[in-house]
Amino acid sequence: MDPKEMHAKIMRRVYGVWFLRSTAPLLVIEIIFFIILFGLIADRIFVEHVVKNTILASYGNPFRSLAYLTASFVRTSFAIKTVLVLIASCLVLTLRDINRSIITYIAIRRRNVLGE
Amino acid sequence: MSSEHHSDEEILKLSIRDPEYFGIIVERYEMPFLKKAFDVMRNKTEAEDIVQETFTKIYLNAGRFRKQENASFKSWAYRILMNTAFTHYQKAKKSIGRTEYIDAVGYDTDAVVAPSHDVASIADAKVQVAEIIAKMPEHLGRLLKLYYLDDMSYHDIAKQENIPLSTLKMRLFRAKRIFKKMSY
Repeated sequence: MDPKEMHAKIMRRVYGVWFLRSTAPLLVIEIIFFIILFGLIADRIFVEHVVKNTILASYGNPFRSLAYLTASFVRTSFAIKTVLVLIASCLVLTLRDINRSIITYIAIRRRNVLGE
Repeated sequence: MSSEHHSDEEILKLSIRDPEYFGIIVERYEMPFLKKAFDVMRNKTEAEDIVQETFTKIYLNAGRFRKQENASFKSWAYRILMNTAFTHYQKAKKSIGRTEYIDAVGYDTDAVVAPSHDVASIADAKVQVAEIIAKMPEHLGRLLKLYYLDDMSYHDIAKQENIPLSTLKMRLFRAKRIFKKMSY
């Protein structure tokens, strides 16, 4: 094994340790929360109807569907609003962590390959 | 990355949040570690495994490292390397009965050694191992030295120490545990 190859192998292991320690637990918690919240809201909102109504309300204009969704959100109960906000937050955090993992992996790989 | 001039301790701290920084530590110590591990195992593949395992352990324990007056990152890292090497050595010894020292032909040691680290690192590691053994209970430290450093067999040590084989095995087990505790 040449030193560069070994360096890459070590860094892959280090990345694995970092991912399992700092990102994987967060991702698991966020996904569990997401599933629980989605389960809560699924009992109260009939997703198929929401999608159907959104398409009908849009009339080919995506901005209208956005206005429809906003109006629906404003008119819904406080409990549903809270759950929807929590779902959105969960989704943003999950995407942030996935993005961070990918960026770190790319940075390590680039450093291994190009020696930057 | 512009952290090449930072100390090992600073880089280790940074690498906990961003593992990319750990690459600098790997670059600095990869070659001296390889040389040291090869000195112990006399086997290139084993030495490479030891070095990989050592870096992984260093990263795993990075959060626990605290710089003290007489303990720099370098000495801490070498202790981990030596512990890992001892564990591999013991496994090899068990599986083969007695470790065969493979000829170094085909292993370009000159290419592996970083001249600035070579002598210093070997001396450093030897001093560290001797220091730990000196701090251990005398009878246990002596057994450890005879078995691992002087390469004596169970039978010969038991005969020299005038103790049964089972007692020797138990003492060596305890000695190894104490050595590991004192090393971290």
